[in-house]
Amino acid sequence: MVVMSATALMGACCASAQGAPTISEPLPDLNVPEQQWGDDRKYVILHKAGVSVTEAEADFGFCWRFLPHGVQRRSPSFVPWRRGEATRPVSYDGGAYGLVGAAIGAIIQGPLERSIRQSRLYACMLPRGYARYRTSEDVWGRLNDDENPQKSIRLQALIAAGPVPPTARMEP
Amino acid sequence: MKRLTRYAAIAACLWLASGVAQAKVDPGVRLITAGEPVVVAQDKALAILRIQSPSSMLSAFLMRIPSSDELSAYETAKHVAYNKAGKKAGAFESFVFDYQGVPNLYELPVKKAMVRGAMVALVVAELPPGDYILYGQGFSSFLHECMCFGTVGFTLRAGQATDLGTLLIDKGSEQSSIPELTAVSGLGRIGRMDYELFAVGLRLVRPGDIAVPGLDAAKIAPAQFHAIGPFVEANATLATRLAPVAGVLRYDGGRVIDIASGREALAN
Repeated sequence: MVVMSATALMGACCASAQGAPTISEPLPDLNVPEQQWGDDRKYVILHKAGVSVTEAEADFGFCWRFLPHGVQRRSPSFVPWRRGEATRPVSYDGGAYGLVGAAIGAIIQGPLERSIRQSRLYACMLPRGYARYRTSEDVWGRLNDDENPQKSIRLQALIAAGPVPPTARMEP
Repeated sequence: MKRLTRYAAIAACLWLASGVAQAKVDPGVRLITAGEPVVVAQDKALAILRIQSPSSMLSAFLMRIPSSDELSAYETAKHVAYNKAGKKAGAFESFVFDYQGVPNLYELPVKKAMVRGAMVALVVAELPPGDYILYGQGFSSFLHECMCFGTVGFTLRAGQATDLGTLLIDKGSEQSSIPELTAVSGLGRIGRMDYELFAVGLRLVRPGDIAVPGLDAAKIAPAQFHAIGPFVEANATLATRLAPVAGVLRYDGGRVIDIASGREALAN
């Protein structure tokens, strides 16, 4: 796959990219053929005309805090307001449903987790003026590395502040 | 609403699979039932909330801001549980435990309404007095979505009935016919992925709203709302924001604005 370096993208972009941190991670080629586009609800990149990389990085950084999710809280219970409570991990191991439950859990885990994650991201980013553009599952995966959120935030900020993506824009 | 039933089943299965035991604690809320005399106890607050929703399964979730003593008790209990867990506990910050203390998250379900109208249910709840936040929306005791990106706060006073108006709930994926939900509905397919994202709004009390049977209207005070800035709640499925509320809450992009003060309600 052809890649464009982050530095090159910043150079190709505009004044809005000035002041951005220099990173060495290559950006994926955003010119993804239509037949490779993934589910339009989940596999997208975000772009905002006129935003600077610094602003975009601040927006992504803020919204990233809201992406982790755990087992749903129940009522009655205690919310330690402003103290930051640990996320109660969701288990897809099937619990009392044994191997069948575990098999079903393994199948639904990825899609469920991605839709929840993207829903939370959209709720935070779309009101800030970002628009969704289609991409492939592969590109999306390279831009959403849960093991390295700082890298993901930087790369997505560079894309958001860069040229308008060449793929189809989705509304909203 | 088959889809909602499925969500509830999935949520229950995942929750059971997590091995979490539901704490047997005093719920802290008492819902007034149809035909029951309405008396405002001097040490309790009475909250009046109408809910207009597409399903009788839905609920409003209110969170009482805990006192410093309550937070200290929680922290102490967490340390005790952490020490008891030993090496398997992992990092303290990520340690989860079942707190059995006084709750501060309360569910007001349509199903337990005092009055059920054609479109709107009237829920009357006896609660501890305090400062509250319209925290989220859910069903069957599960918090489905938090109002994490902006909501409202209010005070419930002891010995007083407070009218919170009407909570408006509709499907987020479709353009709602409820005017207050215009800005937070019509999301199309992204509002209906594996889980339905509900559009939620609040209409302040107005003449002609369903009244509480047997309670003198003169003794009911309308809630005084203010804006609440973003807050992180990982233990819910989805996150959204309350629709703008006339005279109370508006948004400037992602910023939450308290209309009365003209100031931004900062992140919590």
